[in-house]
Amino acid sequence: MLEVLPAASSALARELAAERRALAGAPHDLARAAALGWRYVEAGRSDGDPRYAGLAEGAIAPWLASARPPAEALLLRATLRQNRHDFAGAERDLAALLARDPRNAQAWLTRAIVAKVRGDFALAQASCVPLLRLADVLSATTCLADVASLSGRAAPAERALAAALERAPAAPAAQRQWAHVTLAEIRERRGDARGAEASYQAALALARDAYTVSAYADFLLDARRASDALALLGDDRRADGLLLRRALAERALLAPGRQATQRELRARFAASRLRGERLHAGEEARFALAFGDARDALCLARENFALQREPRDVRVLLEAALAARDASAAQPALELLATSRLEDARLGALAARVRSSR
Amino acid sequence: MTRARWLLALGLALGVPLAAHAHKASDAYLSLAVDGANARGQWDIALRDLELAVGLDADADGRIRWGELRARRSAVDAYALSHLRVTAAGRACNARVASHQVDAHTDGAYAVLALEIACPDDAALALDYDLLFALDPQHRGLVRVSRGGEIASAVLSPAQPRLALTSPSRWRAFTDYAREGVWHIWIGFDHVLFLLCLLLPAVVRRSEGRWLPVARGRDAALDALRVVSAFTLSHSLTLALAALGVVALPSRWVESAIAASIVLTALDNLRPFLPARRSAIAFGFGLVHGLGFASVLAELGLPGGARALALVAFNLGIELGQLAIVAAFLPLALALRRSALYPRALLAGGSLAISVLASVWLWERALGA
Repeated sequence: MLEVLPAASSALARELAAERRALAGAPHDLARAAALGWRYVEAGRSDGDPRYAGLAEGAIAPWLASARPPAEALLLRATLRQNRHDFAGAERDLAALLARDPRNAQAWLTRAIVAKVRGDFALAQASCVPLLRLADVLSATTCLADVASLSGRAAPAERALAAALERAPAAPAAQRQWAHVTLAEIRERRGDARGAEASYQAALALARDAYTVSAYADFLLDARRASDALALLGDDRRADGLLLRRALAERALLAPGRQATQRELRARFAASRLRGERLHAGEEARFALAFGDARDALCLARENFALQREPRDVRVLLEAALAARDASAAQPALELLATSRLEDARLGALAARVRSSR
Repeated sequence: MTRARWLLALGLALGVPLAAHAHKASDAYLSLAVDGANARGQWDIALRDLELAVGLDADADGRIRWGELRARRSAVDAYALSHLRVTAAGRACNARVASHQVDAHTDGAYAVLALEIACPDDAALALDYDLLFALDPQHRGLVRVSRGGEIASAVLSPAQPRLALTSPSRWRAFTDYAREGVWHIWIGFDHVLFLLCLLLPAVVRRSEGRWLPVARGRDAALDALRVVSAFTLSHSLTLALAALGVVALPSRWVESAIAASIVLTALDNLRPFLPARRSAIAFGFGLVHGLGFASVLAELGLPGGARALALVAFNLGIELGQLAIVAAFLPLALALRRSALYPRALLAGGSLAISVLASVWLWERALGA
């Protein structure tokens, strides 16, 4: 046998194949093409396979080629662009779409996320607000609390989010999970380890996804609980992000096989670079910090920071600047901390070390 | 539907990038080695992508086996070749798949197609690539083309589906090889010293065991011209024969013979014993020096399709370098020829020093020390 196809056993693969064939028979059916595109996005999310993002784009490619792509195609493309970290492209699509259809809740939400990731908290907040009208209270509150906690209002954000969760016990699991993870991160930044862990576990009890597992694994690694982190990660080696946490945990435990994990990650980063992509610059920077050269790590962290400015991006830039003894390189991160009034106990301590090393 | 998508948006809200997973996005790896109007290459295409494009999993059990791939081999070839257009100056080249293998990449098994490409000529080569783009616009063709020591690489995408190699410039090749020729004569001390040995006696003549200055400068210049022409003629001859593969001698013999030719010519300047005129000596030993030049050219390699041109350019470079040496030496020798020092210090002393040095070379080269 040469190759096992993904999701070989699942009904999903057969369903997607059937939908593909149906679309081939009706190549001008936008609704059918967009439906298949979203199915691919969904498959990519559950399966963790980026090939699905390409296939989703392929499904709606004929409509994207037009001068004024239909709203349905724009929304899908914005989502795919966000996945590829083409944040500027995603924002263009969302702006065009919202100008046409200002009641599109999903477009507002996606725009809020993109703005938050880029560190534009004002735009992120402005994009969360319409969700109060267009979506449910829990989603809107989570969106707003997330942004508020990053811009100097962590304590009221935590209170509001916890209250919203209590008031919406019957909300869909995915929405509750998102709220729990957001709450966990807010509590972690505020130094409430016990509360954060309870929220991470509540989130994982609802659904296990790569983001929550990564965030919780980072929490455990920071708490010097590498064996707990390893147990959390399980056997899944497919996601680069999870494999990175595994490598860090294995290093802390001097576990056998840790070199093989490092080699595999290195090969994956190299393969991604060959495509001319740097989707993983932040994770690659962390990898270089732990297993490679501090100068390389700093280059990657700066490259990453030019694109993404979430707390984890701030952190890797500060750490890389310290390791490379180049405090001035951390200036953009220090500026973000100062202007956003981001409250994060760990980042504050790191920033103080960077400032005193100058 | 709406609800499913809303949940999806939340998934994205959680920042799970689809690309952050082990299975990477779709890539194919195409490498070509161009030699003149032909090229050989290797094209690695993921079995998963081929399954999508042409269908490999005949029994639909989610597993691809050797037999299934073999059975679809011609469909795979037809699909791949119909999505790669190779042209030379706009005219289509003929590509075929010579053999098949399977190789493992970080994200799974790949079919490896060995390509053989024949073009109408070796002019401007271009690749137009659109494998899988219709199905997956995020597919990338990672292309690497090597041609005569130069390497071009590109990541081909729907936005940039073409890799055009600049046509090998004839003029550029000509000047490159001419420069190499000049350079080689300048750094090739043995050739310079041989030439000096030949030229040292040009401004004097031997009469009753003594060296007398040549009366007329013009006669000396003509003599030098005859000697240099004979040397040029003979080394051009053997250079061409060796470069075109007609003659092949072990380089150790050639290098030793070159050293010996210098020793003999230098000793002949001290006390003539070679039974021939200077121009005849220059011609005879020039044959050996030509073989030496050829070994340099063999290291450089002749560009496919422009062999003759490069050979002429390299030879021309050698002659130019040689001419510069003559132009520097001859006026000086002419000016000094009436001095009593010339025969003793320059002719005898110089030749003695050269013969000693060349003897050392001969010793080293013959013994391989």
